[in-house]
Amino acid sequence: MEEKKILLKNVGVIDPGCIDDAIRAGGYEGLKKALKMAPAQVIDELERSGLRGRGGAGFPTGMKQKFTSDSCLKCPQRYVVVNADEGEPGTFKDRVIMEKDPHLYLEGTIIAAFAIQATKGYIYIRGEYHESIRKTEQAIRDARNKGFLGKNILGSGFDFDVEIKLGAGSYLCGEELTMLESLEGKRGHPRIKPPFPAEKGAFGMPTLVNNVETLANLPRIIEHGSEWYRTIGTERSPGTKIFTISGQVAKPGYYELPMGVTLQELIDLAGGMRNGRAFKAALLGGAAGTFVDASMLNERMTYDNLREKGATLGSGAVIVLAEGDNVSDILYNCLRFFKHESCGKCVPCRVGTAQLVNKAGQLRNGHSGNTTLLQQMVREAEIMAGTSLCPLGQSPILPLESFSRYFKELQ
Amino acid sequence: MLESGYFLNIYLYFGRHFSGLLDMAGAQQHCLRGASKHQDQKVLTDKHIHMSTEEIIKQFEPAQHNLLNILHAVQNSHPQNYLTEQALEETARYLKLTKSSVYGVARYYTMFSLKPRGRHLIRLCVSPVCELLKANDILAILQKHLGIGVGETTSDGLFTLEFSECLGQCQEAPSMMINDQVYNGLDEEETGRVLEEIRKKK
Ligand SMILES: Cc1cc2nc3c(=O)[nH]c(=O)nc-3n(C[C@H](O)[C@H](O)[C@H](O)COP(=O)(O)O)c2cc1C
Ligand code: SF4
Ligand code: FES
Repeated sequence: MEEKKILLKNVGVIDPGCIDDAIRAGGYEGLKKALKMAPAQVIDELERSGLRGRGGAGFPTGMKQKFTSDSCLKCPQRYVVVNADEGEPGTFKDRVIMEKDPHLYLEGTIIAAFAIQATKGYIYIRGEYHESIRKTEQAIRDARNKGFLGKNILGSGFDFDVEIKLGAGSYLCGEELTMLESLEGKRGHPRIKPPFPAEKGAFGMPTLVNNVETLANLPRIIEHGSEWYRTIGTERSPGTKIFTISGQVAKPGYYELPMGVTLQELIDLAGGMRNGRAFKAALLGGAAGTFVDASMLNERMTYDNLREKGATLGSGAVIVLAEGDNVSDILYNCLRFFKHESCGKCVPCRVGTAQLVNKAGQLRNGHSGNTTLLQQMVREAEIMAGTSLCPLGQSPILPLESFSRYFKELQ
Repeated sequence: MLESGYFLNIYLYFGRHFSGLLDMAGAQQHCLRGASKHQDQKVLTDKHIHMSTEEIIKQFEPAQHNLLNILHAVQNSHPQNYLTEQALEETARYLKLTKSSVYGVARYYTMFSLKPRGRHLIRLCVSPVCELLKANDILAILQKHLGIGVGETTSDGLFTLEFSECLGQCQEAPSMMINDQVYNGLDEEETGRVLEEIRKKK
């Protein structure tokens, strides 16, 4: 299996701080083409491409644009919000795009704005990502000077500009509705869904929220067409995915591959296991992800196939554990993470995350009666999933249930 | 293209740690930037900025949606990495918000502090990949060198030690940040070296 670089093709080739470099490498060609199309045509093209959101949920991007574009036609304003809050443990794909080729996702953002006719956008970047913030800021400034942002972009009559908003250390703010609260200058408490951002988003206006990697696909799709795009990846998950693989592999890092690669192929590309150790487990999709064991090594990693097998693709994070590593340490860490990130607004999540951490502590210390302990934990996480206000409280069941499926014997 | 090949080589030679240097070199070589037509305001303020809190706040348009950016800018400019009561009050007044709502926001987000911290804020990642690759050992080393616990500040006011969730550097775990600088692939030697270097510079 070879890398298929369509998003990352300029990484390490261009100077990310230089817009002329980006332009020489084909930057903003997609935008130029989009501006000659009708906004609805752009949306059609994206729908045909089959692109699905890379923020974790895999929602069809074209469809989301259509909803946002069609909602509240009387509203005086609509917005594009870029989700650059990348906080899922094990994930660093958006950082790579922002640091190494920021013009790519900025161009995608402008195309998305044109498609839904938004005149204003916000890029919400996590506060710890200083380098991403600097690079994006420079890119915005240079794009303005070149007329890719601002009034009457490239003479098309379309106006659009973006601003950077900083996160401040809350994972929950990566959830789209919570992000909008935070972006408005409030505490990161989730809003109740519905209404969805497409109906009532930033400042109550229709808002398109997309992940950095999702948007980075737009210039390529518009430039080369949806037919070309569909030749990459699988029927229901077209395109590439940037996987970030870490842990016990020889060459951890980011790898862009066609959708549908197997875990084994990804591990091979990452140099195989570190020091030749045997594979034991992987956590796919970060803390809000699922554990798999060796029986899943040859499954195709697409949204749908993994879901059918009880696993997730999520953000594309792959954390690899080797024989000798304690999987329950990592489970404990995920549950500790949720406890730390719970906003405490609703009881099932506030109390539940704390209880799960306690029990996971017993579990990893090898207490007796572990099968029952584990069953109790799964039951508790199920109740949390059913009663919590927002998706964070619905997440601990993912690593827990998958852990109990594969690793209960190990205890 | 000759240049990019050349820089690619430099890049490969120096590795990721020097990618900042590469960007600058590249920019000088073939990225001629005219003066900006627009007024530039930086989201990330410089640590050594010579501006009063009021001047910093006034760079932003007085709207609530600027609150987090303002709090970051003000906190970054403070040598002790925190938000003073006076800063919060000034911010509230400028944005026409109640003091309690500004406090509420400042307290909610873990990157903000209402208590003075050291000049160098250490954030050690304790998320899964770093834990797997022995962040605990790094914690012990940091504590040994600094003589403080997590959440504490050294008596000379130089360092504060905090935990962080995944810093997005997992390819070279274990990782930490000190102010805006990222340090990866930590082991005993590297951790000690980094602290010494900062101590020498002060
Ligand atoms: C707790 C939580 C954290 C999330 N964090 C992120 C994140 O860091 N980045 C991201 O793009 N999406 C994140 N999401 C998903 C977003 O809510 C949303 O689905 C995504 O931004 C949509 O963009 P897409 O359609 O381009 O994938 C998170 C969701 C939840 C529930
Ligand atoms: S589920 Fe958790 S994070 Fe979500 S609102 Fe409830 S307490 Fe907050
Ligand atoms: S887990 Fe520590 S940097 Fe990602």
